[in-house]
Parts: sequence; structure tokens; C-alpha cells
Amino acid sequence: MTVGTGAGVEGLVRAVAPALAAATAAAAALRAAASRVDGEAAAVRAEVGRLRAADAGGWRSRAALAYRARLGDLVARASRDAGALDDLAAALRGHAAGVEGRAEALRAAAAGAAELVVRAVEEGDDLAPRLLARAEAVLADASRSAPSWTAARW
Amino acid sequence: MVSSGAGRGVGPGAGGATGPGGDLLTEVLGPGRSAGGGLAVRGGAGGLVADGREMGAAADALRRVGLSLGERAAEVGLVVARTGLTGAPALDPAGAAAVARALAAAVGAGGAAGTAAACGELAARLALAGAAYEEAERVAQRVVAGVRDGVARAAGGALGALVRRPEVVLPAGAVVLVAVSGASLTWVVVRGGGLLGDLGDRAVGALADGRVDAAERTALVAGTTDLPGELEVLARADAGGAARALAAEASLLAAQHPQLLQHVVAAAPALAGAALPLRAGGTDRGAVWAGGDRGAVWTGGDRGAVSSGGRRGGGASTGGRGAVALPGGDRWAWPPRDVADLAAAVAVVGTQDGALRPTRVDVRAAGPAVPVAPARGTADLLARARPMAGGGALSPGGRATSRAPVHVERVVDAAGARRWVVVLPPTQTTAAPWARATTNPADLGTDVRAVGQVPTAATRAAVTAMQRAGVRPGEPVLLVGYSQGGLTAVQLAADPALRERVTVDAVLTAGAPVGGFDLPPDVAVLSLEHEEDWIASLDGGANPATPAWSTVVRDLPPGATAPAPGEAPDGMAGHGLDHYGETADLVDASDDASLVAWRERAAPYLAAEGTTASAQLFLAERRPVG
Repeated sequence: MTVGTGAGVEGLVRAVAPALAAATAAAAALRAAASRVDGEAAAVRAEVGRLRAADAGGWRSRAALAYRARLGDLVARASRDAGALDDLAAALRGHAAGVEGRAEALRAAAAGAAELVVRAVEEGDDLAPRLLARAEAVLADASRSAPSWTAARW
Repeated sequence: MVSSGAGRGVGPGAGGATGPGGDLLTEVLGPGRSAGGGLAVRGGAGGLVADGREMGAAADALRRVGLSLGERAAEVGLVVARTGLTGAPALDPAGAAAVARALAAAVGAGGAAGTAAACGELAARLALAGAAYEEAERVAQRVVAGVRDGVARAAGGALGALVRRPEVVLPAGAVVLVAVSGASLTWVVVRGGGLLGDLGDRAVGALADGRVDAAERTALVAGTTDLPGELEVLARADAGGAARALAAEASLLAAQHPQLLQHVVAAAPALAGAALPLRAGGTDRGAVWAGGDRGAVWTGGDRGAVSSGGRRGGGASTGGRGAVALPGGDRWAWPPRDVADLAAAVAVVGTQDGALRPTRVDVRAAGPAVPVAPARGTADLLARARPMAGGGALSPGGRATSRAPVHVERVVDAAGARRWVVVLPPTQTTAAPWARATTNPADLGTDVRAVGQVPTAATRAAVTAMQRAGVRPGEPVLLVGYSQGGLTAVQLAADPALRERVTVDAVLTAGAPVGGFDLPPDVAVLSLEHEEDWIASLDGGANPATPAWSTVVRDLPPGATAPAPGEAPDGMAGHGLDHYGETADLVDASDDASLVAWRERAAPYLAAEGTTASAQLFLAERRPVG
């Protein structure tokens, strides 16, 4: 193993650390947004109740029937909106989980690369090129979805 | 508040209108919404009621919801957009795409933002509809009031011409009221009918066609203003013969112009009050009524205490006019505020019962209760009045008999629950209301008294018959009445004291002028009227159109009221019970929401598996006392 290659791998591992921190923060922001969306969904559900109350119950005519049919559509639509907000919150949480999963993959890849470097040192220089190539492949795979984070490292 | 009882009118083409304006014109200004089979229905479960304030409040709430949803959508969009700044999409592009899709679905045009816009649009439409109702109601009230005022002033002028004639002798207040008012109204109908009819048709037609713009409104108002002068010209021309009897012709004219007659009757109190400066009620005549409520009809089968209730607008201020409670449930309010006040005033001196001519009513069973087949529908219920209307087994001697029949039918369902159908008699005699030529309680005096909403011999007879038959408190009662029977039925249902003893559940009337009554909302009412039946117009107004009170107005087919070859035209043809039976058949077959609701309400009184019925006939006879 050359000193240059080892330093490159170490640099790579160091570069992953802030990326991991940023990913953790992004996941937290996504979960916070999901909670806000939960609140908005609850607010929309409250508006659904107010919509139902706007039926002008004393009004009796064919036009009133048409109005109430449209109001019923609006109630159903607002209920769907609340459900869509639930879906949005779930999507945000899924996104947060995805970000966390990718961060975990980066962390694992960095740890794996460091381990390969250590093994290369232990096994001797003959194995170093193969092990280093493996380490680069692991990191490259891990960072495929986050090129901006890892572009500077090679 | 707009309700479908605001006017009894006809409007060509109104039946096809749709939307809020169409509803109004069809149900308020027209005879009612079309229910098929030639029926028009006002009120009831499918009736039109529109309160502009309530609609405005609902529109405001809708608008606020729309604003709130818009704010929610914007807030969510902002919150989610901020997450894009964290770099998360780069780490999880697939998750970011899923969020973008969910965001669009939740707050985009197909989501909360679109819903918010739709709420705003519907709020605007609702507010417009409410404003349209309010404005249309104001226009309708203005025009109807204008026509009515014109009638009152014109008829007052004619009345003045009569009173000024030196040969007219004024022996008593009642005779003056009946004869002079009757002659005046007859004159107005006969001579002014064309003018009034043209104006009324023009006003209602304009409203029904939706042509009420500013110019049309001005023209209508000008027409009502000019009307008195035009009628006065006619009155002067007729000065020598205005008082001559025109009753037969008037009957026919009334049948041809029931809408006009209703306005004339409605104008009668004003003209009577203006033309006859009679003494107002005072403390020397008895207790002064602060509110002017009508007397109750319940007297426990005999003359007794009087309680209040029953009239439309009861409890309103008398506006400085005296209203005096008299013995026997009579009352005197002069000048009269409405048709009921006028009729009550006439009743004081012009009818049996009441203050001047007290009578008692003897009621006896004509025989034991006998099993009968339960009625199968509305028509069957109404058919129970047939023997009372045309003579027959139920009413020995026919309509001129000295005794009035009351049919009390006990209906027991399969579970043993008891209900009652009580059928009340129409007018049985045409003897003068103040004369003792007949002992039949169902006389013209009872008609006058019932319109005046003061106790009658017929109501006492009905109460006594129910007691004798065994009607217990809490057992539901369906009252059925044709003509005067309908008046009596509604008068009974309107009496709170009676309702403490008898649970009046439903009322079926046919050809009865019952528009002056106010019934509690838990009493279901179906009133059948014919356009050609002027008797139903004698209340001077349309029936209340409430969720509980449905009125079916039928325009009889051409020829139904035509005389047979060689016979004279009959102004009462539209009042015939046979025609009402046909109308009831149409009601039983109709799918109109109000009529379906009525049939459901009446169902427990009708034939069903395990239901039995027995009927007992009672005969009531009036006896003078004092």
C-alpha cells in the first residue's frame, strides 16, 4: 500500500463525517415537517366539520338540494385533502427514513473502507491494490446517490 | 324569511323554473312546485323555505373555511419546500419524488388549494342566492301589498258611497258589517274584477316570468296607485245599483278569480276598519288584551275558561288598538288587524254562541261502535266525510239536518296501540248565522266563528264526541275535515289547551280556508285546495308553508267544473268533494317529497296487517241557553 493511497482513503473517510451529520439533520427536518403536516391535516379535518355545519339547514328548496349536494362534494373533497395530507406526512417520514438509510450506508461504507485499509496494512503491500480497489468500489457505491458530498474525495 | 306560502298565485310557465330564482317564483309566487298529475305542492318536507340571513351566515362560514384551507395549503407547501433546502433530495431522490407527488395531491389544484377555491365559489353563489331570495321577497311583498292596498282603498270608497245613501238603514253592527262589507266586496269583485285581475295578473305574471326590473316595478306600483281612482269612477257610475244582489254572479266570478278574491278578503279588514269607525275595544267591555291572542276552542265540552293561542302572528302588539276578551271566548278588536279579527267582530253580534247568543251543544251517539275497514290512504280518509257532505246514511236527512255528525274511528294496530281518526262535518245548513232556524252546530255562524278563531259549537261537539268515544290523553289523533270540517280540525289542532288533553298528531283538510291559523310544528298537516275553489280563498291568505304543513293546489282539468248541457254554471263546482277525492287519489300516487312524508305520517292510521278499526257516529245539536 502506498502512502498516497492510504491517505486518500483516510481523507475519504473523514469527508464522510460531515455528510453523515448533514443527512441526520435533513432527516430530522423531514420528520419535523411531517409533524407540521400532521397538524395541518388535523386543521383541515376541523374545517370539514365547519363545512358540514354550513348546510343552511332551514333552507328548503330544489336549489337547497343542489347546494347541499355541492357542499357534500366539498366535504368529501376536504376529507380527501386531509387524507392526502396524511399521505404527504407519511411520504415525508418515508423520505426521512430513506435519507437515514443512505446515511447509514455511507457510514457503513466508510467503516468498511477503513477496515480494508487496515487489512491492507496487515496483509502486506501485495494485497493492497486489490483491497484498495474494493474500498473505492464500496465508497463509490455508497456515494452514488450523493455525488456532491463525495465528489471532492477522489 | 321566504317560504312557499307567501302567496296564492298562478304564473304561466313557472312550473318549469329551476335554481334559486326558479324555486322562489314557482313555489312562492306560483301555486307551488309541480308534483305531477296536475298537482302543485307548497310546504312540507319538500317545501321551499329560505332565510336570507341563515344563507348569508352559511356563505360566510363557507368563505372562512375556504380561506382557512387556502392558508393550510400554502403553509404545507412552505413547510415541505423548506425541506428541499436540507439536501435530502440528493440523498434519497426516490423519497423526494414521492414527497413531491404527495404534496401536489394534497395542496395542488386537485387538493386543498382547489377545495379552497371551490369553497369560495360556492360561498359566493350561496350569498347571491340568499340576497336574491331576500330581494325577491321584498319585491313580492311590495307588489302584493300594493295590490292589496289598492283593493282596500277602492273598496273603501265604494263602501263609503253605499253608507252615504240615505235609504240605507243601519240596524246593527253585525248586519252592517256583513251586508255592507259583503256588498262592497261583491261590487269590487264584479265591477273592479277586470281592473284588479289585469293588475294582479300583470304583477304575478311579471314576477313569475322573472321580468321584475326597475321599470316593471315602477309600472306595477303606478298601477296600484291609479287603481283606486279608476274604481271610484266605476263606483260613481254604479251609485244607484251597487247594493243590488249579485251573489250568484259573484260566486262564479270568485271561482274564476280565486287569487283576486283572496286579496279582496285580505283587504276586507282594512276597508271595514276605515269605513266603519266603530268603537274600539275598551276597559268597560271586559279585560283588555295586551297581545291580542285568539281565544282557545277547548271548553271541556261546555262553556268555560278561555286560553290563548292558535293564530298566526299571535302575541303581536295591537298597535294601540283595543282588544277585548268577551264571554264565551269571543273577542273584539277594532279596527281589525286581519281577517280573523274582522270575522271575530262579526261573530260577536252576528252568530250564535259567544257573547250575545250563548248556546250549549248536546252530543249523543247515533249507535254503538261498529267494525269498519281501516282507510287505505288519503283518499279513503277523505271519503269518510262524503256522507256528511252530500247526505246519506251517516247523516240522516242530509246536509240540512238539524244535527251535525262527528265520525270517531278507533284504529288498533297489531301491537295493540290505539289511534283515532276523527272526521268533522262540513257546513250542514245555509241558515242565517244569527238565526235560530237550525239547531245544527255546523252552520254558517260556525264558519264565521272558526275564521275568527273563536270557540264554536262544532269544536265543542268534536271534543265531546272524542271524550265519549274514549279518546285518552296521549293517544294520537288524526283529524279529517272537508270545508268547515277542515276549519274545525285546524282550529282544534291550534288550541294548546285541547292538545293537553288530546294528542292531535295530524290534520287532513280539503277545501278549507285555514291559512289564518298557526299550528305547532309537531302537527303534520296536509291541505288540499283547488284553484277553482274560492271557498279556500276566504282566509285572505295562503296557508303557512312549513316543514310540517303541506298544501296541495290542484288546477282542475278543463271541463271538470263546466255545467252539464242545459244547466247553469255552478260557482261552487270547484269545491266539490268528488273533485277533492280525485285530488287525494293523486296525492296517494305522488312521489313528491312532502306528500311521501305525509303518507308516512298517516300510515299508522291506515290499513296494515293486524290493524283493525271501529267507528262510532255522534250527532251534535245546539241548544240555546240563557
